[in-house]
Parts: sequence; C-alpha cells; structure tokens
Amino acid sequence: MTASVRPSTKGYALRRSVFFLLMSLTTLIALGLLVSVFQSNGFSPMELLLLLLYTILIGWICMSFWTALMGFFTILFGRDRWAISRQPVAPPDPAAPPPRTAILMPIYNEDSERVFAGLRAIHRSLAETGRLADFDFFILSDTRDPEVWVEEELRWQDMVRALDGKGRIFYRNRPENTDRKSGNLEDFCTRWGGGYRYMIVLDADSIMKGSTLTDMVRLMECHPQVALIQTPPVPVNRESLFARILQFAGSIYGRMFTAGLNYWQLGESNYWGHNAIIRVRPFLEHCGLPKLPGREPFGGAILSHDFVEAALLRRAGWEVWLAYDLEGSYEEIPPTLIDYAKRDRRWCQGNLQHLRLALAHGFDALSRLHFSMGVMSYLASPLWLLFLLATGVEAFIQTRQETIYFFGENWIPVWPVSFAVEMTTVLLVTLTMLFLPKLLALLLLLKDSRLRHGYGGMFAATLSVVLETVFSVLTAPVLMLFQTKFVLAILLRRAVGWPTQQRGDHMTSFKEAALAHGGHTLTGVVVGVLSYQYVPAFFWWFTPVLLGLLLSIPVSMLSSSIALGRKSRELGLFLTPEETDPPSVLCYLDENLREDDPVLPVLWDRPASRFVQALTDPYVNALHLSLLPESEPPGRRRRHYLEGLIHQLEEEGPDSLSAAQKRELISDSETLLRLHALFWSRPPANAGMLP
Amino acid sequence: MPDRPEFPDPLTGALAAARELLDDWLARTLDLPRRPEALAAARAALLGGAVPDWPAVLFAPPDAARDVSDALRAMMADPTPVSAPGAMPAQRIELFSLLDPLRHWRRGVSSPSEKTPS
Repeated sequence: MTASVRPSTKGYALRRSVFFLLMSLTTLIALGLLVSVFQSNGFSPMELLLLLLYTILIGWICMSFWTALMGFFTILFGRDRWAISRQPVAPPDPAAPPPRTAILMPIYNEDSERVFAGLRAIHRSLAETGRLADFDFFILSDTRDPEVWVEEELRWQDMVRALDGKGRIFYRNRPENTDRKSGNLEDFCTRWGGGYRYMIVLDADSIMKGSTLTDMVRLMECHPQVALIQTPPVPVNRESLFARILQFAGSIYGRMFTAGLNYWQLGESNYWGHNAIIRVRPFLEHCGLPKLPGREPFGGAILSHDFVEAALLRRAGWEVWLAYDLEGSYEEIPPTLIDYAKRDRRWCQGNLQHLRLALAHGFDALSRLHFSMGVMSYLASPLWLLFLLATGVEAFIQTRQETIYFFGENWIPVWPVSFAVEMTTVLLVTLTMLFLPKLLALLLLLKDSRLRHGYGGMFAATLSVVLETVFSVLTAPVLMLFQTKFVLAILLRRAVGWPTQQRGDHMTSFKEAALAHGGHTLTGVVVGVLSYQYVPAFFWWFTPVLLGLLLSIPVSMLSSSIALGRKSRELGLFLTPEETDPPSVLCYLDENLREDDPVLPVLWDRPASRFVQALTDPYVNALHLSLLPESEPPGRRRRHYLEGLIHQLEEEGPDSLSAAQKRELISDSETLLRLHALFWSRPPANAGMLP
Repeated sequence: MPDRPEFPDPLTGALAAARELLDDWLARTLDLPRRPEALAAARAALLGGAVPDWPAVLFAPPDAARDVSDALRAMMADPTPVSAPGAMPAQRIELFSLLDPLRHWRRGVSSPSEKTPS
C-alpha cells in the first residue's frame, strides 16, 4: 500500500505537466502527419481550414484519451495516493457536536411518486448508518404545474407521517422560479443556509447510499480547506435498450475517466450540479451568481451554474475535489435517444454561455479549461460536421484535378506521390484514441473478479463493449446533427427553453421518431447520393456516418424498446454491477415504487385532477392552504383578475383554464377558501368535480 | 386579514361560517394566531386524523378539548424550519472585452498625470 500524502504545489505541477505534455505531443504528431500530406503542393485555403479543424478536434480527443489512460493506470496500480479520500488528516474532535447537513432535492414538475420514492430510499439507507439525526431533508420545489404541485404536497406530508419526519423533512414551493435551479438553491441558502454547515445537492433522479452521505460529511470535516466534493454518479435503473447501453458505457468507462480526471485536476476539480457536498459558508460568501450583461442566450441569468460556482469557489482559494472512488452515488439517464437530445438542448445553451466566462478576469487556468471543456462538449459537433463537409469538398476538388506525369521537356514520368500510408496513419491514430479506452476498460476487468462478475463475465462484457461501440457509431452522427442544430439556434439568438425532461421509460412512436429524425434521414440520402455520384472514393469512407443517419428512425425506435432492453438483460448483455448485485438503496427505491403504500387516505386513489381535489377535498384544501407562503392580500386589479378566473371555472369548468391560471387560483389563500365553499354548495359547469 | 368575500348563496355562506367556527375553535384550543395558513395547518391536522372522533370533541367542554391539542400540534404540518438567513451577495465577474488591452493602455498613459500633485 502506498503511503498517503497531501499533494504539494510541485505535485500538482508535475501531474499536469505530464498530462498536458502527452496531450500536446500526441496532438502535434497527429497534426504533423496531416501536414506532411497537405504540404506537398503548398496549402490551399481548404486544406488550411481542415488543418485548423483537425487541430481542435484531435486536441479534444487527445485530452479525453490521456484522461482515460491516466485513469486506467490509477485503477490498475491501486488507488490514487492523492485522492481526497486517501489524504492523511487529523480526525475531527469527537467531543464536538456533529455538523448539521441539509440534503437538498430541487425539483421542477417531476414525477412526484418517483421523487419521494427516491427520497424515502435515501432516508432509509441513512437511517441504517445511525446518523439520521445529523441530516435534514429539503424538497425545494420550483414546480409550476398545479397538478404536480398538489401531488408533491400530499406526497411530502405522507412521507413526514410515515417516517415521523416532522421537523426533519421540509417542503416549500417557490411562488416564482426566478433563476431556475441556481435561484432555487440560492433561496434555500439565504433563508435557511445559516443553520447548516453542509448541504448535499441532489437531482430529482439522484439516489445516494446513506454511508456515502456520511462519508462525504466525514471528508469535509477532515478537510477544512475543501468547499466542495463531487461524487461520480453512476447511471442506473433504466430498462430501455438505449438507456441500458448508456448505463453500461457510463459504468464501465466512467470510472476510468473519473479516476483520470482526478489524476490531473486534484483540488481544482469541477462541480456537476448534483450528488455533491458543499460547505455552506463559502458557498454563501462566494457563489452569489451575477447576471451576465447583454441579452439571452449569452447574457442574463447564468444557466449552467455548477461550473461557475466551482470556479468562484476556487477563485476564493477553496479546494474543489472529485471523489472518484466514493461509491454509492447514482442517477438516472434519459430513456430514449430523443429524450437524450432534449436534455442536450437544455444544457447546450448554458454551456455555450461559458464561452464568455472562459476569458473572464480572475479565474484560474483550470477553471478556464473547465469552461472551455463545457463549451467544446457541444461545439465539437458543428466542428466535426464542418470537418466532414470540408473533407468531402477537398476530396471532390482532388478528383477534378488531372494528374500530370510529364513536366516540360522531361521524358521521364513523374509519378504522383501517394500519401496513403500517412492518411491511413492519421485515421488509425484517431481511431485508436477513440476506441482504445474501451479496450482498456475491458482489461481492467481482468484484474478484478468481483467487477468482472458484475459485468456478466468477460465474454458478455466484451460482447457488450463491441455492441456498444457499434451503437455509438450509429448514434454519433445523429447526435452530431442534433447538437449542431442546437448550437446554431443559440448562435442565431433563438433562446432555448428548458422543457421538462420525460424521465420515465417509454417507447418512441413512429410519428415521434419520424418528426425528430426525418431531417437526419433525408440528409443521409442526399449526402449519400451526392458523394456516390461525385466523389465515389469518399462515399465508402463516409458510410458509417451515412448509415447512422439513414437508420436513425428505426435505431431511435428500437433502442427505446423496454422489451429489447429486458431481453438484452436476460442475455447478459450490457449488465452493470448495480444490475447484477443491486445495492440496498436501489432495492429500497424499487420496493417503494412497487409497493406504493401511502399513509394518507387521499393518496390511495388517483383522482382525475389534484387541482380540483385541492378545491373540493377539505383535507387537501386545508393542507395546500397551510403550505402557501405568507403574502399580502391581492390588490384590487388582481382581485378582479382572480374573480374572472373564478367565473370561468364556474361556467366553463377546470379544463378551460391553463395550468398557469389554475396555479394562480390556488396560490391565493382567500380565493382558495372561497372556491372551497363555493364548490361544496354549487358544483361548476362540468359535473363530477366533487368527490 | 383580507376582507371576507361576499357569498350570495346561503349554502355557501353557511359552509364558510361553519369553517370559521371550526377555525375559531382551533385557534382557541391551540392558541394560534388568526392567520389563514396557521389555521389551515390545524384544520388539515384535524381532518387528517389527528383526533379520531373530533366532532365529539368539538362540542365537548373546554377541558376535554385541551387534551387533543397535543395530538393536533404533533400532526400539524411544519413545512420549513426556523429561518436561519445568510447573505449571498452577487459576485463580480469581469468579462473579457476586446477593448480591454486598449483601456489598459489608456490607463497606463493617463496614470502619471493622475499621480502629479495639483
């Protein structure tokens, strides 16, 4: 076992020098090969463009490759001695009172049943550690949909009653969802943050083991210079084929990448927005987010707040770590290719906004790199597209050039120089860097029999890697076109909304697939015909991309299949250790979802509308009213407006109101009481409203 | 407290009055402020089963009602903890501008004269 030490400044410098040197050298070598091909006849503008694009793209690939390689060696030779979990520390004073920690779950129109099933699972797992009393739970709702809002309140009250959680499990719904998630967290910090030393931020689909939560607190207590520890969330729980393939990839390759990231980032790591613990005091002092000057999409509120918060903490001298070896942190991923793209659409605008922050004054070099990496994760797609187009055009130009064998009076023919070897080398180098990490991840399984069993054995894991590679090759061009479209929309200043993600498993219909991928298929046909017609040699090189585009509709539909996902599991494909031997917290979640057994009688049945229930059911009405924030009585103008809505509800029924109008009606305590009395004496237009 | 809304319908009025009577009783029993949210929390606890035979208790002598106050308090929703506010000032992020080098240069040029005593 290696002795543990705290990394010195020299240590940081050494690791980063090694990493960036290797990255730069590989980029230069790959670039050199391409330059040697192009320089024979001087550089044309198109070749210069290709070189520029290749430099950026190969640099991006090299960074990912060397991160994976560093991760591979870290895991191969045992744990990283500089990992936050391995550094020697003075144990905290046992006589000191344990720190208070708030577990925060910000939610926005999510499936309440799943949210509370997850929270209950975490609660139960935490209770098993015997440290439950040190934690409070906060459900921080930004939900706008009145149906979901009332359901959340009932689920919260049910959880409190079932777990005797009064005074430990809290719920609030913000009247306005100003600044989205960052505003939601800021609201917590400014109202209750002073009561807690730490906060653990979750996502609506996060699940964390109780022991992981207590470990995070212990690490923070041992490292007073650390402001944030991020855990790597492992994707779990999905059943569709698409999600199972992604879960497998995230699990088997993910641990290598996170170990690699920790290798070179150390205490200047990043924050991914959830499954992380944060020291509240520095967060309060340094993470108040400003509005960026200018209009959306680049100005206004900072959308992807996590990277910025990490950078602000580091700017203030605090350390931010990635605890790559801390297990028991899970998340769920989008179930279909279309949902995955929808999530990308939400994230893309926030990440592109970082373009302005990468050059802002005062941030350290690594923060700038984190910002740039965030930008590149979306900008890479249009750059790849441009690169492919430029390659096609260059190939077309080459085919039009006539080869001259005899120059002047010279009777000895000058044979054209072939660069097939160099070009093949360029291609091989690129492909190696893309696919070698997959092979390395498999090699790591040979070392660990427990893990090998978790992935279904060596044969099943190898077959799964091969199939996952084929799948990623097919979906890569589709995602490239999706992301290019998002980037262009944002650059053209068409603000991208933040639609709620459909988190649960569901099949993609033909109509949905055709609408989403019709353009991709058409692009595939047109490009295929053009390249076959005009640049036949290029066509064959281009087939993997064309195939992905042409098959996008069936691939999208088939991969969303839950039946195929289950079948692949039966066959032992794409298995993850969390599927083979589920940790207790995931079993609790599954149990909670299967045996939804609420304490509150109002939850035993699912009425057509929780909004109507809030108006008619005396208990639901009273509970909802009790949870409304104190507010000034509405002014005259607002009263008239609400009066109009009441009449509309009476005469035309609840379906005539929009979700926002319904929300307004049940947000005002006076109106709520009035409607309750009104509808008990006189039901509204459409019958069946009263229970 | 907002003005009581007008209820033209006698049944609606009767229901509202019954609710107010119930709220009165809850406010007295639990010594609650007469805010709609606090009264609603007590009402929700009562209707949610904190006191199984609550209509009987409602018309019982005041001493008997006192016995149920603990049960009601225990079941009243407590949605948020006591306020523990913290200030979170917006941080300054100075964005890069292409004019920055020019401004820097101008500042450099103007600084000697600024230092000159008047």
